Amino acid sequence: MEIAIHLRIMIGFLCFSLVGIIIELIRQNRLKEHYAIIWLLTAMSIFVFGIWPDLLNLISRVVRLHHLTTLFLVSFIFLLAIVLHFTLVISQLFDRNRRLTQEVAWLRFEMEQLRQPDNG
Amino acid sequence: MDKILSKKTLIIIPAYNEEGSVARVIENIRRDVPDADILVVNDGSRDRTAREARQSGAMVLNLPYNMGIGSAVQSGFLFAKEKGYHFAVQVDGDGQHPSSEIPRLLEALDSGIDMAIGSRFVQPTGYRPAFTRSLGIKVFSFLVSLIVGKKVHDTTSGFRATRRSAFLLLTETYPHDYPEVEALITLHRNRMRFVEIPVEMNSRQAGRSSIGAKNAGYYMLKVTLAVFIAIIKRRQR
Repeated sequence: MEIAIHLRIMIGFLCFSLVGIIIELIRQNRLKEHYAIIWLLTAMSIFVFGIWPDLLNLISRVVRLHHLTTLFLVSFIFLLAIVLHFTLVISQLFDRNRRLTQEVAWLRFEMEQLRQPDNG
Repeated sequence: MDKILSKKTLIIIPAYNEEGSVARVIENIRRDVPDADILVVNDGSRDRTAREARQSGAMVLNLPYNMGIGSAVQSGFLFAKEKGYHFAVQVDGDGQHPSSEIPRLLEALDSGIDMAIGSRFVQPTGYRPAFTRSLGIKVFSFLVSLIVGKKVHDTTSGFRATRRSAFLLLTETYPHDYPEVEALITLHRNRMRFVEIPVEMNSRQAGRSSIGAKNAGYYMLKVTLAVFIAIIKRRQR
């Protein structure tokens, strides 16, 4: 399968913009490097499919689907994986937030006790 | 501080907007279990719950926002852990649980049991739940009995006494909402024993049930899923 040159340029542009945005977000301290990895990998895989579209054909032949369907399937699975990853992160944050809140309540209790020792 | 450490039973009262009943609950507990310390876990109430509790002579642990009954009770368990209590009893802040039965729950723990549940259904009592609620209660009773291998009548009762071994385990893993059923499976999976003690519950003095009709579906689904996950979860120790 050959894709038109202007399409390749567009894909390349998309990848470099994505990488640029990610680096800028890290630079501004708005994105943790840890989570940037997944986005950099995303940009990289788009780039790979852009310069080497035969990979998509190869996969299409293996799973015996039309290449557009394959493209859709690959993106869909990839997005699912990202969402799952975020749900994991949220769950972990939830647990930590809960324990932190309980610790704060406990520390506040202890502090009040220290302030008025005769009420202990 | 030494005064706290010398005593060994902590009564945990999770309370969310219970200004109308919490003082009475504390009074009754002080009358029926004079040796126990009382901790009200104020779960982000927007009313005078904390003040009422403090005026009645209870210790008050203020959670900065409404964390849910499970997290509130677990905060109480953490408190009991830090302060070295041997037993922890959880009692609802709405006056449903008769404090006169607390000594009987504690007696059950004396015989080496890890948790004693104040149960509404071991013997016929005056408690008559509505149809949907009764259905849910039956489903969970069936599920838990099947898993645990003995008949458990009242899996959703929040009137429970726990030995240190059990509440230490529950400080590690305890769901933030609707925790009662899942906690039984967690105990069972970690080779702990619990018994049911028949009690006569009061009707609530004020406030409303935490499970409205709107949440009933979520409740059933969440707890059923949690039970099955609790079976396959890794042991804590």
